[in-house]
Amino acid sequence: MKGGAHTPSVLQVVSFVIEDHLYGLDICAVKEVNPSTAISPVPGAPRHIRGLLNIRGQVVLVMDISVILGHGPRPITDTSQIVILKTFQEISQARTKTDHVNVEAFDDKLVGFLVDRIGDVTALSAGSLEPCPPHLDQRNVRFVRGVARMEDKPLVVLDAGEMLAAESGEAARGPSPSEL
Amino acid sequence: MPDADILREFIAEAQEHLATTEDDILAVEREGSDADVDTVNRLFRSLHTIKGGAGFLELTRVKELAHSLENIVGRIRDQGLVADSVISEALLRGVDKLRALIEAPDDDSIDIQEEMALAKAALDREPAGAPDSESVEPTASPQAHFDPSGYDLAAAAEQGCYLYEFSIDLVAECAGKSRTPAGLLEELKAACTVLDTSLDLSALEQIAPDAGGRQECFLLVSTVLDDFEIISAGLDVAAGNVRAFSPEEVARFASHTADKGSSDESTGGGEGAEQDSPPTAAPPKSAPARQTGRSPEQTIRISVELIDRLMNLASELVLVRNQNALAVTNRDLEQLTKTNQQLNVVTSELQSSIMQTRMRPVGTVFSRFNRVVRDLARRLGKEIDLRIAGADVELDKGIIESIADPLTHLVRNAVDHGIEDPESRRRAGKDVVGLVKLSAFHQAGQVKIQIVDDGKGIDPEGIKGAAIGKGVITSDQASVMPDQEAYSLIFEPGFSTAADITDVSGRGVGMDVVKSNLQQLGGTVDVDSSVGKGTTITIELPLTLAIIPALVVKVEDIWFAIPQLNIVEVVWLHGEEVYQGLKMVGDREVYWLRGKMLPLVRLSGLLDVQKTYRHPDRGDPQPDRRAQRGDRRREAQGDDGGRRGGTPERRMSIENSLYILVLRHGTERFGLIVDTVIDTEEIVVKSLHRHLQDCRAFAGTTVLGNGRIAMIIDVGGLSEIGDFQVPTLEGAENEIRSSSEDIQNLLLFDAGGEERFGLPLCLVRRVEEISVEEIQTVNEREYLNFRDGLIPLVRVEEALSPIEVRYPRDHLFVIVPKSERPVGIVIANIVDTITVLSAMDAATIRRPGIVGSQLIDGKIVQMMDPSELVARALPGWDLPADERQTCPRVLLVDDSAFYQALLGAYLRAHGMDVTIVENGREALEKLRAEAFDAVVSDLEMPVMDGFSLARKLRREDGGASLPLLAVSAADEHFMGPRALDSGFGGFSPKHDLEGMLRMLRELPGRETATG
Repeated sequence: MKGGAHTPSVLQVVSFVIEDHLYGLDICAVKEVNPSTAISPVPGAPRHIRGLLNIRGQVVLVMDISVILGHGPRPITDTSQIVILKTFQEISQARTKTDHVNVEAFDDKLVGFLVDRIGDVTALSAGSLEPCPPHLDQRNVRFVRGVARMEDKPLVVLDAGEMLAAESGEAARGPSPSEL
Repeated sequence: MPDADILREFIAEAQEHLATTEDDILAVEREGSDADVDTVNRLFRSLHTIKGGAGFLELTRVKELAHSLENIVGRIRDQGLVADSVISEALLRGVDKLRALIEAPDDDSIDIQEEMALAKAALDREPAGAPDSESVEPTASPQAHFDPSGYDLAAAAEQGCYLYEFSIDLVAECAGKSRTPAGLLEELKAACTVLDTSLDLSALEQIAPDAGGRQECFLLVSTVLDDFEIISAGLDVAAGNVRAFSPEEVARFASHTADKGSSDESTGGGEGAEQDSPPTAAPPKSAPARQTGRSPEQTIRISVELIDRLMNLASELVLVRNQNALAVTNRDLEQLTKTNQQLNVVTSELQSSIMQTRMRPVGTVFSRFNRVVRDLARRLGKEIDLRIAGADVELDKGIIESIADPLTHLVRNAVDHGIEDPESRRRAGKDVVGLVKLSAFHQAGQVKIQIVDDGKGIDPEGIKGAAIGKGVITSDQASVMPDQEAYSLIFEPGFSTAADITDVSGRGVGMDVVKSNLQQLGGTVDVDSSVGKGTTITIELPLTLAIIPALVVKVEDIWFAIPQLNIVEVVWLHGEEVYQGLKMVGDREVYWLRGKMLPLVRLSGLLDVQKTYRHPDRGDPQPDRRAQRGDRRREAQGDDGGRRGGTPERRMSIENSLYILVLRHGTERFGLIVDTVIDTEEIVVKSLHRHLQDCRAFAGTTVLGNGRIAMIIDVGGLSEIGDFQVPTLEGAENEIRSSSEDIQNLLLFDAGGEERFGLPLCLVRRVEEISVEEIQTVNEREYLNFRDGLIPLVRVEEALSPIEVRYPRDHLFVIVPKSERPVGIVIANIVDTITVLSAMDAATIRRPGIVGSQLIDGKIVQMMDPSELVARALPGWDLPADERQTCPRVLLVDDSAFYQALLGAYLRAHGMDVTIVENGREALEKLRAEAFDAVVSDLEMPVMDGFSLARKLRREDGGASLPLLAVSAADEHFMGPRALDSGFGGFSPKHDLEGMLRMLRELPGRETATG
């Protein structure tokens, strides 16, 4: 394959499903996907913080990004997985050039996103990524890097950095692909 | 250029030598002509070694300076030169410069002329002659006066303030300008923050503006104003007397004082002098050079013995692993258990040995205070004796490094503001030499550091006044605030500003920073003081930060770890203790712990954890909507089906127990209620994720041995959320006494009709579920085989008529009340056990066997008096034969309608003639008019309480031999001794009616009283 992951013209996206909507994250931001969902809740934590997870002795903070995206909290099922993001150190040391990832927003500790089901890794050409439709609430646009038209449904590529920076207050309502 | 490796070796070695020289110089100075030969020799050797190394490495200036210092020490050693203040000053300054030279060997700009001159001057003096100390006093240059705190400088730099130096003649500035020096200072303070001054501000008032002469004064101030001409014009001070520090100078000044710690802080003045010396001197480049010189700081010296131990442990670990692997392969459980034990031992030892490598004696910080105190004392004209104890106590390296600044601040405060000047001390009848004690010691797995001075102390009223003025507290708060709390006000942010130097004995400069720095280390700081006698500041620190012992607890399904150092003790309540141990004060639960009130908080409530309970039939967790102890309603769906087994015993079983962790945070104590205590564990502390920083209750997270994640509780945060503002102990005690009377644990039941009844649980011995077949009838009386004996049964309708009852066909319940001879009351169904605030109405519903009524959840509940009920149904049953003959007269004193009815009925049922009065005064009147055989009195009552009643009675002739029994619903351990002290013959808890009766019968004096 010509080009590959190293050229910015192709974007490798880890796709996942939240409440029947297809979302994706730049693979450069993802450390691993883990099926362990023995999450310990943290009393008094913001609504979008699901709890903490022990992955090989490391404490991972699990965010329920469904809350940020406006779907409300998701139940944990057999197919639920945690998409664990790279830490600030990992992403800044990565060999792959990641101009399009907002490195500064990454945490120095492990953070994972709770998803209903994990999907494929999809290669998108930069051109196929459409900007956010203008009718979206501008407050929520910042979470979305773009939308790719797949065969059956739109794939909303999220901005991991912006998601990490989300506060529970502004997470009250986010974009859902049904509006797209 | 010398070889870099050799140079590094020399630097490390020289720094070690220099670290000891300072203390040695001070010791030699202190001992004067009796100087210890060993100390002098060590000093000489150190300087000699440095000189030799420097000569080899061609560090000319180091060599020259070390040589001249060595000469001085040589004279002390060989020719009996007595080290006075001039000599030690020369030595100290020389050593300071040596340190600067060694840290930056490539910096050619460091000038040693001044130190060389000092050393020469010290030697050239006539040894026996009068010391001409004034000429060599380092106060010659104005900047030497300045020794500002690193905090103040850092704060000034952070706020973008500019630093100015005022060198003004106060007398001249005030002359003809119709103001006093103090007034000028006030004006100055209004415009800027005074960081440091050469002047004793408290002595300002004494300066007469017209006295003539000169009153030179140097001030270091910070302000946001960037044009000093405005300042000088505004203050009407000659502009030539104000000098601005350039931003570079400020940064350098700040980095000298704040970054390098206190040993350099005290030399800050000296270095400042270089920086501010005339422009002929090249600008010093020492700051960048110093950074390269800092690299030895990053290494750590470990004894070979310790390294060997670590090596041994590592090889042991490998052996254990091999054995373990073998055991796993062989599926040999026994062997596995053994290797596990070994693993346990090796791991603990390895852990503690590795910890050891990080441990450093606290003396490395303490030693620098000799110099700090000495320099500061000289500048302030005070005489101070610094005593250091416990310098060998070890702490984690990280902690040692971080406490240097807070400690310096506290020590400086003690010297500057704590100890009075010699004249005031003499007037106060104290030793002219002030005493500052710095000590470290182990206590309860922590390290405590105390800074004690015998100075003027802190006036709590002054602190309060200042705090009110600054809006930190209101005057209402101040009036009820204990002194101990007032002292802690000095740690409040906003209370302390630099302008406070003259206010309130001057403490509180940057104290909030001291406190927050120590808190970041997991430590606490407390102040205690006594006006005129001195101040004690106590710092508590954990030994290390990375791995801490913690108690693992569980609330619902969430695990928590609580650092052991915050835990005082754990109290386990179970069964009935849960009902009786917890009391309400206002809307807060409290526990009476050995006579002291402990405010309680539920971890579940504090963190808003959804409580669940196991469904009795299905076994799955259900949400529990009971808000607290006082609300014991059972879930509606769980109980209206006439479910069997709903006896109170279920709630009194082992499941119905709770743990109170007695926690402390500073001086605060409170109880934390958790569901289960799991174990103690050494936990590895992991810091909180950024997203959880707002959760004040937690200090971090950890992974437990079982793989679960536990939140580490921040006890300080908890106490903030919990807000334990208990009015005052005094008030709360009164409140609890009255409120404990009002809380009743009731058994609610249906007798078989529409009417609902209640019975205080304290009167119930047992509740049995029986089938109808178990009841046997003999001679028209029903009997039940109860614990291998027959007991008669009483049906409610026998005593309470008219009443309509329908009993279920198969199952019944029998309540066995506490009584001397057992008897059963047959009822149809248990409704619930419930804790309510007693609001019994004794008047509306009056019928035999019922003492009163109360509305509970909208339904009338009739309070049953089991003894009267039984007495009516089974006349004579509950009265032992001998009781029926006599009819002693008992005076019952109680203000509660409920207990009047309950106790009265009980005593009457036991054949006593009971007269009831409301309070002590009525009792006295009654006793004067009539004769009684005994008095049973409540303790807390309006108008006159039980204690006063007893004391009065005991003093009167007639009452001296009268049997007096105290009864109370409040804590026995707390009330009992007080009751006996005031003259009661005995004490009985109100809920123990049998005990009360027994005690009443046994009271001494009764025989004579009854005749």
